[in-house]
Amino acid sequence: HLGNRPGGDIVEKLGGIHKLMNWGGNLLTDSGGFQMVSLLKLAQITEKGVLFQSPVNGSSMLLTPEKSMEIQNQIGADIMMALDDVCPSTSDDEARFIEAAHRTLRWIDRCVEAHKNPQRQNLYGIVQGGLDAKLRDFSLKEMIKRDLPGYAIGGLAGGEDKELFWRVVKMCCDYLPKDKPRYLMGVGYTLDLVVCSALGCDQFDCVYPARTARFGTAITRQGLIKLRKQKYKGDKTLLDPTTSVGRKYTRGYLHEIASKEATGCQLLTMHNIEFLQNFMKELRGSIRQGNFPEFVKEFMRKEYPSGEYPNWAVDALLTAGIRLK
Amino acid sequence: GPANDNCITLETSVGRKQLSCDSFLQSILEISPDVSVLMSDHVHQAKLSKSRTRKSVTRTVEWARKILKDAKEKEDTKGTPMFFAAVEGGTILAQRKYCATALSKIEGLSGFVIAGLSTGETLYQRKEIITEVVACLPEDKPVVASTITNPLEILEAVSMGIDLFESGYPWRLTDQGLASCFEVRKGFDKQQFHPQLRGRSLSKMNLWDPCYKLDDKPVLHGCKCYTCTTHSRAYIHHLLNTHEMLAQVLLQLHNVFHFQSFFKNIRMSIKSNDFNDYRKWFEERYERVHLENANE
Repeated sequence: HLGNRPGGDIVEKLGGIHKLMNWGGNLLTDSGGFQMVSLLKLAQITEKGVLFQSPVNGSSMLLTPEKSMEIQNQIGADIMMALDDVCPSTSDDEARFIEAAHRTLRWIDRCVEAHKNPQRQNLYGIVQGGLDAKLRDFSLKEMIKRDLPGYAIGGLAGGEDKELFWRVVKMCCDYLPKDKPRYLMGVGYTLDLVVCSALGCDQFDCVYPARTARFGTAITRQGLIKLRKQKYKGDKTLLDPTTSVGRKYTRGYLHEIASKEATGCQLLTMHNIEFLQNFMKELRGSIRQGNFPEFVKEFMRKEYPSGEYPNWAVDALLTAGIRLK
Repeated sequence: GPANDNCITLETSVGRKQLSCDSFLQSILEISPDVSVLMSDHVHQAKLSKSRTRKSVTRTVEWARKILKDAKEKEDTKGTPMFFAAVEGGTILAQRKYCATALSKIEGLSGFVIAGLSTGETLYQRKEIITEVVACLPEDKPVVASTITNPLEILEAVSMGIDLFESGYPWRLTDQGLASCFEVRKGFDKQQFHPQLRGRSLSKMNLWDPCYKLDDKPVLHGCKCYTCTTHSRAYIHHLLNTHEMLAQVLLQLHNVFHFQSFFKNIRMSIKSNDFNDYRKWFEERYERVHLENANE
């Protein structure tokens, strides 16, 4: 939480986040509201905003749409997220879902009002509504009215049923303007990235590659390599010829350090991130070259050599015009 | 762990292991390093009884002879590593001299390590040990001093004939959030001192200090390491506060680089025949820099 440490004002005084990190690429800040879902015990949600108790020192902070905008303006990232009222999709409290969907819209208006830097920082609105088609429909229509630079599909990727998940993603993608980026939050695994790209998503974020790396798993085109397994002891083959780490280190060496040494975590993290970036680069390339369906089919063949594709993926891809055998 | 006439005992991450001359040599040949320090009967404390010290020296010399003899018989085309012998003997000068002399007579050794320093001996004892041991060793082979870390002590050891150092100094600084910043060359490192630090030692700076919160300067002006050419003190301070591993990565990159540039300058001064002048200049500047700054 940069708003906590070092504080938005400090980041601003130092010239913004790009300068602080010395990073020339694009950056995105979240609203700070995700903690609502992940740290629910410490959050109290009211119309005004979210009252958090800092897990670091117990001090409380009221995060309002205005405060979130202020901090994100100070940090200065290229993309900012609106503060939304998030209800986890796995919840079954209908009233809460409805409340969250409506409040999110009242808050987006407060965000737009408070956003001091629309020329340089792009404020994305987040479409909510859980898995309920009516609520989603409502949220979509209202959010589009605000004519924002980009739209996020939120409230998913929380472990809900994949059959319901893809239908909501498709619905949102069908509705959202074709000339604005669609950002699916919290996704994910390579299969999910492929299917959701086919459904119309443009942008993703996920802790998965770094987290699974820290547990000793490398993502490759041959599937997941769980390097802690005994079968990799003494394995002289290189990890993966498609990444810089993968070309340099053997599976046997990585087996020894995976999840035990800091270096193991670092090397696998670097590999997984480079892998996913290459993967998405290829995906983009196939769209540009007009053979995205072939890319998808090839991916599915490699990922599921037995041919037993998950049903939800088959159904979803079919609606995108891609028929798997 | 305890040693006997044939084995030493090591505590490893998979339990206690005993190492004999044979298993030691086999492991070394398999691992195939460039240099290997020979197994010695090392007890990591300065205050040892005379008899224990004597035993330690006797075993160390015996084992060195045995391992080198076996290594010669095993010599293959891939080549065995270079072997350095560890000079034991604690703080008993006679034992140190005996050990050094006996080891220097063994054929096939490429260098020596003065083991057991910084284990509780006084600085005066350490000086004596180094001087006496170096005198007994051949002049044409490198001598390593164990665990000498302070830059002033390093310069002193160099003047006594030490060629190589093993030191955890950079990491120990990093681990505490410190960055070394002592001057290594005349007129080169113009530090930008923080006014609040006037009067305090500037051989190292503590990046945890809140005075760095808004300091967008590099850790050490003029330093060519990755950290100083890419990031600021404020960023490292922030990373320390948020417990990000990147803080240690950046600090360690700098501290190792800085330490190595210190040694580079030592080597240059030896080459150009003015090591003593360099040492004198260094001693005058080290930890005294703050006085100069106080007059600004």
